[in-house]
Amino acid sequence: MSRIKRKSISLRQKMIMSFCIPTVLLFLVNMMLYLGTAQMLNSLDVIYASNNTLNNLSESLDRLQNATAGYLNTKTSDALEQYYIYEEEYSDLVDDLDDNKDDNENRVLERNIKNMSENYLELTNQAVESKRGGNVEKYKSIYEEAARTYGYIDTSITNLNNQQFINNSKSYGAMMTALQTLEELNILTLVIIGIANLFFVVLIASTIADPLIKLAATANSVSQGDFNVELLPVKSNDEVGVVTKAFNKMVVSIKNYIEKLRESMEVERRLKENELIMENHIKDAELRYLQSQINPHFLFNTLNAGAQLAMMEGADRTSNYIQRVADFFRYNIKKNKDVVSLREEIELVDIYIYIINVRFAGEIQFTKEIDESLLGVKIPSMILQPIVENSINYGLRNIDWTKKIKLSVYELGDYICVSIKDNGIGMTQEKIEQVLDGTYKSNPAKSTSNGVGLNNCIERLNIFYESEDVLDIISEGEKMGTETILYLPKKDYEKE
Amino acid sequence: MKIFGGKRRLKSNSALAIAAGCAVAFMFIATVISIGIYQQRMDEAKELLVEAEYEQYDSYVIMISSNDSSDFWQDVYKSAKEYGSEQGVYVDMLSTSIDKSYSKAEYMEMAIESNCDAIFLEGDDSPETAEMVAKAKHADIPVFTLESDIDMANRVSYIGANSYTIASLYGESLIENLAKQKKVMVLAGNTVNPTEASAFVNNMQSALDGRELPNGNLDFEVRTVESKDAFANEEYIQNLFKENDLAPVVICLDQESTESFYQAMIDYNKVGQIMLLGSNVSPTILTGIKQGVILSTVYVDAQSIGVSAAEAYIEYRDAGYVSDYISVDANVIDATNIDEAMEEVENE
Repeated sequence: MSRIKRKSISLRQKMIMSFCIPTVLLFLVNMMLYLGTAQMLNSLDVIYASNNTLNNLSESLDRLQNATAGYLNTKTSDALEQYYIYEEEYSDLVDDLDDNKDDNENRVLERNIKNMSENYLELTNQAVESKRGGNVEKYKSIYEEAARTYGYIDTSITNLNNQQFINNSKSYGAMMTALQTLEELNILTLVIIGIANLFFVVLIASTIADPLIKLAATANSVSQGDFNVELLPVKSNDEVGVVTKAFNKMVVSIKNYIEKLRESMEVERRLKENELIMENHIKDAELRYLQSQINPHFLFNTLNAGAQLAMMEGADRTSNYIQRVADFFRYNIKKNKDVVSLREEIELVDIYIYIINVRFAGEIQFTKEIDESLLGVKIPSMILQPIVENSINYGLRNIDWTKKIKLSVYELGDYICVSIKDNGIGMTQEKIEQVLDGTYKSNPAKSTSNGVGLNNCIERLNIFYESEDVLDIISEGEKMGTETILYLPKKDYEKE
Repeated sequence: MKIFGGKRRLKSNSALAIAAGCAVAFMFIATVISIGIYQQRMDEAKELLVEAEYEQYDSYVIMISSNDSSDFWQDVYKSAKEYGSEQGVYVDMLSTSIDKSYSKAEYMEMAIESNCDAIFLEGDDSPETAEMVAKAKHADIPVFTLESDIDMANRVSYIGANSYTIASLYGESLIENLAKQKKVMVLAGNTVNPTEASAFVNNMQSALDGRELPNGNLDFEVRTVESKDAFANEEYIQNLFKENDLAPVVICLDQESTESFYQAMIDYNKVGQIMLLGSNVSPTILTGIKQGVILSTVYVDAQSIGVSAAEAYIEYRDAGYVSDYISVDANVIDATNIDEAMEEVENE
């Protein structure tokens, strides 16, 4: 039996084996006993065959003697017929005896019986013939001699029979001993097989029950939520082995499934959270915006009427100015447009700077250094304008040198950088960190912003790009100006 | 399988296969051994049944005596059988293989009916024996007489001691120990016929003739036991003692009478009063001599008779004739040679 074959003993085969092997063994042992007994019984016939022969001879002799006496008594033809029948019968039996010359007491006795029997047959024949011939004297004397010979033969047969019975009994005894030995060996074999069998059944039961018990225990642990159970070793390829394997697979796949589920829930949760924050900020921006507007439609209409009036009066610059102010506010109330292109954002900045320069008599020098191919990138709306507004409000407002703002768009590695650099009062490093952390609180009373603060911009950028490092503020110190840089990931953007 | 510890756990299938293999192997071996042992025993038993390859004999001779079971006739039979078997002659004593007790004449008839080749017969003068001897002669079966003779006409040869020699040995033994005794009782048991007893007395008288006896010629009285019934000899002797019908010198002519008389002398406190001379040798008789109860015994060497008888038959069978008288020596055991005799018996 190869190892592989052994491994693949199925439960059914085991059970069949545990039933069949003992059955076959018991069958064999019993067959042995049966065959032994059968052989013994057959041998018994052989053992006592010589006694049977002698008994037959003795009975036949008796019948012949009685028949002879019967005929001599009655002289009837029936009796004569009987005589001839028995005479022939006895003669046949005597012929079967061996006329030997063996140097052995029993063989000599057999020889004597044969010779005496032949003489006896001759004597009875003579007696019968004499009787038929009416020779009274002769038949009487011959009959007496025959009767004596009958006695001798009878005695000899009895003695030979006894002697052979003794010899045969020795054989019988030996055979009985043999049978007894066989019996003892068989009983011993049965006892040992019984013990082996018990051992065998216990073994089989264990190989079936042990893995099941372990399987049940592990299943209980799993049902109580412990998915970190040790996987059960598969020792056999039987049905229990198959169930164990399936169970292991199930435990592993449940574990994996739960892990995946947990991860996807985490992602979803984060997404939802971001969405909520974003929504919150937009709402907040809108709210602030709305608070700053009395009625935008009214404002647009008013501004448009002002622009038309200025045009009719030939004040083209005024008309242009009012038109730009209207554009600025229109941009701000595109409520549903959360994501816009960088181009639109820069356009808004242009408008804003134009308005501011009109307000402050063109005191801000606004320069742009832009890689036009990068302007298609999408960014959250209302980002650049608040930054520029911040620069003007906090950086440039109270300085006595020429106010400059430079807007640059360029590529830097994997990022598209949008830089807004002023030459204002600059920021301390501490303040920069506070602004970036969102912990800086400006004085609301002092604020002149149109409502959307830098803090709001930073958070929206972080949420939009799922990164903390989208916006950076660089300032080399007091009066050294401030540069605000947006690092927009380039990964989703294809150049125009 | 906790009982086997951890290692076994790992290979429960292997253990199962090994257990199954072991069980089957054990069964196979046990079966083979059982069948082997059983067959061997059965063969041994059957061997007992198988007829051995016996030596083959050429001639079948039946020996018939008056008392087959006596030591003397057993010795004769054994020596004749032993010698005969070397020469292809099977000597048989019918009484050894037949339990029923038959008379000498009946054994003779059985021997004749069995178509034997010869008969060794202890002779006697009974008419039945004579009749059977005649019948044997008629059936061309030669009869050899041993120890006691019959009518010379019907037997081929007689093997035995010379009766005169025997009588002389008794005479010598008697003369040496005779004081004033005059009466001598010659006791012949029922196996000795009266004629023989008378012939013995005659021979004694002849042997003592001319010898000087202290009290003149001896008076011989022959007592024979005629009854052939069982224990007839013993009862006869008991009667002699009871009636004090005794003589100072008693000569017993057979072994049985000697032993009975010896025991009766002790029982009836007659030791020293009666001088007993016995016949044949037996442990009892030798003890009697050793004790001084029996003066001496005369015996014919049974082995010589047996061997001589077998030799005589072989000679007759091969040559067609044999001497009609073959002499066998007779010997005396008395106080002088009792130790040697006892030693010999012990050695046997």
